[in-house]
Amino acid sequence: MEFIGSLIISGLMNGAIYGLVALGFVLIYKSSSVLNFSQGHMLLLGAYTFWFFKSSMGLNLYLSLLLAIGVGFLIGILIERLTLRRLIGQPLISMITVTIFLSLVIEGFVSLIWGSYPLQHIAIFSNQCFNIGNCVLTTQNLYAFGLAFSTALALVLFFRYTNLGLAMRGVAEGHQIMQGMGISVKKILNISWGIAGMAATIGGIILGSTLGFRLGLSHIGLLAIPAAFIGGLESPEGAILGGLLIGLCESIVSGYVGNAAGVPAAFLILIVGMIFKPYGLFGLVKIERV
Amino acid sequence: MTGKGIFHVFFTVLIASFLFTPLSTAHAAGPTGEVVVGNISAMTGPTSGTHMMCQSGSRDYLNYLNETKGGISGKDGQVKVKYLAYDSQYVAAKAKDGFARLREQGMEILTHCASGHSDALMMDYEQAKIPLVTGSQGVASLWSDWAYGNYHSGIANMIRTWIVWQKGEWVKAGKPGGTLVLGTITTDEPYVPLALWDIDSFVKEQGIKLVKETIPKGTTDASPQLLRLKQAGAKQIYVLSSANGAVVVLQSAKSMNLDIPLTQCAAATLGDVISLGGPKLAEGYQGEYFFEPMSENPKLKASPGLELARELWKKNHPNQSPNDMYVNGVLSGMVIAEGVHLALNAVPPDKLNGETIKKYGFDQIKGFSGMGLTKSITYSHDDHIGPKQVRYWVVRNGYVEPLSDWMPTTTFRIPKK
Amino acid sequence: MVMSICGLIMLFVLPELPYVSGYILRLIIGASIALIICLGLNILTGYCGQLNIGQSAFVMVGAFTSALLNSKFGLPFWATFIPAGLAAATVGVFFGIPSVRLKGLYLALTTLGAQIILAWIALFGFPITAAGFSVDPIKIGSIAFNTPQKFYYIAIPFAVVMTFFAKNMMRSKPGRAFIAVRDNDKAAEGMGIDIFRYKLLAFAICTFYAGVAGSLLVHYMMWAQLESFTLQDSIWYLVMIIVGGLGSIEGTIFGVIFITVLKEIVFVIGPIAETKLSFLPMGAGSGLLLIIIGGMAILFLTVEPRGLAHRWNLFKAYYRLWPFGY
Repeated sequence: MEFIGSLIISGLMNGAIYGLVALGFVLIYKSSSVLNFSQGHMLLLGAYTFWFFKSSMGLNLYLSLLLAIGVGFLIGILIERLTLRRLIGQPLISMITVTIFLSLVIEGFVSLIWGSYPLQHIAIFSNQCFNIGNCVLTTQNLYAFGLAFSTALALVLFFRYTNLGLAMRGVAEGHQIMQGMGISVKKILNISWGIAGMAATIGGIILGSTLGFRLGLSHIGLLAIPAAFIGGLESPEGAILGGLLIGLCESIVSGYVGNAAGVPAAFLILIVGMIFKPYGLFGLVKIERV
Repeated sequence: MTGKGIFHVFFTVLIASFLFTPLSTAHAAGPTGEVVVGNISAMTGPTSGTHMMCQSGSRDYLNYLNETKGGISGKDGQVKVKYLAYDSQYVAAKAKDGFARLREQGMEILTHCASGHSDALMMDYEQAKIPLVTGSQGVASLWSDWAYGNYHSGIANMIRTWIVWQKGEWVKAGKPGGTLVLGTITTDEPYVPLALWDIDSFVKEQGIKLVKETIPKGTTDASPQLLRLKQAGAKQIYVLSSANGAVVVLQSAKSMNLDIPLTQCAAATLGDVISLGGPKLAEGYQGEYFFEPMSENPKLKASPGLELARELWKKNHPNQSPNDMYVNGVLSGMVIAEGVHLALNAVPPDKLNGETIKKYGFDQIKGFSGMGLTKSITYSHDDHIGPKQVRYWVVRNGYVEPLSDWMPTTTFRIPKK
Repeated sequence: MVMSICGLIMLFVLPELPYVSGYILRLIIGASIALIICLGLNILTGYCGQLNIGQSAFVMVGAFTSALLNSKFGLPFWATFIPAGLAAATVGVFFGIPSVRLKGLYLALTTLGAQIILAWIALFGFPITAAGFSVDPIKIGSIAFNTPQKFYYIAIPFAVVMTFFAKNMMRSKPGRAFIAVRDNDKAAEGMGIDIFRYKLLAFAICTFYAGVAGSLLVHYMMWAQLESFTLQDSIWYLVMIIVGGLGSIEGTIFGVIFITVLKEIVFVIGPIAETKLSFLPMGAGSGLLLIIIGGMAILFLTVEPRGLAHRWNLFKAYYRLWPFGY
C-alpha cells in the first residue's frame, strides 16, 4: 500500500514539472503555431543562468531566483525576435527546423560558457521528510511540486481572467483579426515567448537542483512534449493535467514493471488514448472545410 | 546583400570547404621521431563531460612528456607524441568514420574512455593492427588481443566484485541474519543490462539474495524504490548509475533518513558525486576506485603519480575543480608512454607502428603502477583487462578515505557472440 | 541524358581518384545510407504530409532484423535485406494505424512514441542487442565488401536504385494520391481517394526504405549496436529533408549532403578548436562550433525556408530563361 502511495507522490512531483514545461510549449504553439523543439534547451539555459547567479556570483537564493526568471523571460523574447520574426508566413515545418537548430546553438552556448562537465550542485530544498503512515513525503517533493504547480496554475488563471491573457488567446486564433482590433501582435508574441521562457526557467531550476546542472537536462524537455499533447495543444490546463498524468504513469509503471518501463508505457497509453480523443483531452477540434 | 546573394556565397563556401577537406587529410604518417595517438570520443552532447575529462588527462600527460622530456625515449631512440582527436558524439558510425580519418593522419595508437566504442571499433582497430588503450573496457573488447584496459575489469564485474566484497565482510562478521540480502538500484542506461548480465546465476552461486529496483532516468525522486529495498531487508545497496542518478538516489535516501549504506559503481567516481551533489549530500557514500582519487585528503599521502596528475590539472585547468576521470586519462597516457618506451627498447623510431608498439611494448607491460597511481597493471597473453585490483572508499567530511584494502576483482567475461 | 551518363560514370570511378581517401568514401557511404532513409521519410512527410519523428527507430528494426538473422541463422545480406525492409514496414504500418483518426502534429506524436517504445524493446527485450554484436560483411561470391572502397560499390547502386524507384513512384498514381492527401485530405476523400489506405501505404514505403537502409548500415559497420539509432538521428533526418526541400527527391539529395558536411565540420574542427581554446572550460571549443554551425543553418533557413531544392529550381529556371529572367 505504501509503495503505491510513494509512487503516486513521486509521480505527481515529476508530473508537475513536466506540466510546467508543457505549459510553455503549449503557450508557444498557441500564439505562434510553432512546435518549439528547443523548449528543453530553454529549460537548460534557464537552469544554468540560475546557477550562474547563485553559484558564480554568490547571490542570495531569492534574488537569484528572481533574476534567473527575469533573464528567462528575456531569453524567450530574444529568441522570438531573432528567429521567428523573420519566418512569419513561412511553412510551419521550417519554423520547427529553426527551433531544432536553435537547440544546437543553445547547447553550444552553454558549453562555451560553462563547459560540458556537470556543475556543482545547489541545494535549494532542505531535506526533511514527513511520514504519513509509511509513505515518505520529502520536503523536496513538496516544494518542487508546489512551485511547479502554483506557477502553472498562476499562468492558467492569467490567461483566463486578465485582459492580456485574453489578448494572447485572441492572437492564437488569428493574427490578422487581432491586428484589426488594434492589438499589437508583435507585443503579444514577445510576451508569449517570454512567459514560455520563464516557465522553462522555473522548470529548469527545479530540475537542476534535483537532477543536477548538466547538459542532459534538455532531454527532460522531451518528456514534456507528450504531456502537452495529451491535454491538447491548445489548452494550458490540459498541459498541466497532461504533465501530471505522464508523471504518474511513468512512476507507477516503472515501479511495478521495472526496467524504467514507465516512459514507453506512457507513450503507449497516450497513443491509445488519442485514438479515442484525437485532439487531446481539451484540445480544440479542428473543423475542416474543403 | 540580398537574400539570394547571401545564399550563393554561403553555398559556395560550404562546397569549397567540402572539397578542401580531402586535401587536408592528404598527409601521410608523421615524420619519424613522432608517434600519433588518436582519441575518439564524445566531445559534444550529454556524455561529453566525462569523455572530455579523460581525453584531457591523456593529452595533458603526453604533452607534458613532450615538453619536459622531449617525448618518450628508450634504448633505441626517442619520439615525440602527436595527439589528435575526433568527435564521435558517442555514435558508433561516426566513431568508425573518425577512425578512418585519424588513420589517414597516421594514428598508431587509439585511446578513449568509452566502453561502447571499445566494442564498436574492435573490428577497425584489429584489422588496422592499432592497439587501443581504454579507460573503459567494453564487452567484446575484453576478448580482443588489441585492446588494453587501465580501469575497471569489465562492466559485468563491477557488481560481482562488490558482491564478493560484501559477502566477505558478512562472513567476517559471523553471518548475521542467516542469509545476506543485498540490493541494487539502477537507471535505464544502456550499460545496465550488461552490468547485470546473468547476475542471477552468480547470486545463486554465492548463496545470497539480490533485490533489484530501477528508476527512470528523468525522475527526481527515488524514494519509492529505496523504500522497497528497505522493506526487502537489503543490508547494502549498489547504485548502478552515473553521477547524476546517484545524486537523485542520495537526495531521496537522505530525505528518508535511510540508514542502509550505498555504494557507487565505477561508472562514476565518488569525486564526481561530491562535486555534483556537494560534500554534505555525499557524506557516507561508498564507491570504488581502480586508481588513486584526486581528492586532496590531507590525511593521505599522495603517490608521485597522483601528485603529477594534480599538477597537470592545476596547470591546464586552473579555474576548475579537479576530477577523477582526469586521473583515468592520465593513467591511460602513462600506459601509452610505457608501451612506447618499452617498444623503443627493442626497435628504432622509424620501425615504430601499431604492431611493433603492441608486440614490444604493451604486451611486455608487467607490474606497471603508473608512479604509484594504481596497484599494478600486467598484460599477459589472454588477459589485457588492466589493474584487476579495486579498492573501496568512503566519503568523510568532503574527502574520500579508504574503506578497504586493494582486493582482486572478479574477471567474468560476457561470452563472445 | 548525356549529363546523367557522365554523372554515373563519375560516380563509378570516384574511389579511384587520388585524393579521395577512405575517410571521404566513408562519408559518402554514410550519406548514401542516410539518403535512402531520407527518401523514405520524404515520401511520408514531404509528399504525403504525415510528420514522422521516429524514423531512426524503423531503421533500427530493419537493422536488427537483418543482423539477428545473420548472427543466429547465418543468412547473408542478400537474403535478409528484403525481410528487414518488410519487418520495418510491418512495424511502420502498425504505428501508422492511428493515422485513421490523428492528424498532423498529433500523428507525429505517435511516431515519437514509436521511437521511444521500440528503443526500449531493443534495450530490455533482447539481451544481445544491448551489448552490440558483430555482423558479417556483404559477400558476392568470394568478394567480401568489408572496406569502404569496396562497400562504396554496394551503397551507391542501392542509393541510385532506391532514388529511381522513389522518383518514379511519386510520378505515378500513388504519388499523386499522396500529394492529394497532403494538400487537403478531406477533398481527396471527396474525390474518391481512399485516404486511409494511401496513408498506410506511405508509412509502409517510408519504413521499408528505412529497413533496407538499416540492413545496409549494419552490414557496412559490421556491427549492430543500439546506440546507433537515437531520437537525435530521427530529428536529423527530418532536418535533412527540410533543408533539402520537402516533397522533392532532388531536395533529399541536397539536404543529405548539406547536413552531412555541416556535421562533419563539427566533428573534425571541434576537437581542434578544443585544443586551441583549452583555457576555456572543457567543451567550450566544440560549443563554439555548434553555435557557429547552428547559427549558419538558421540564417540559411531564414533566407530560404523552402530548402535547397527550391533554390535549385529557381537557379534552373534562371539558367533556362537567361537573359530574359524577368
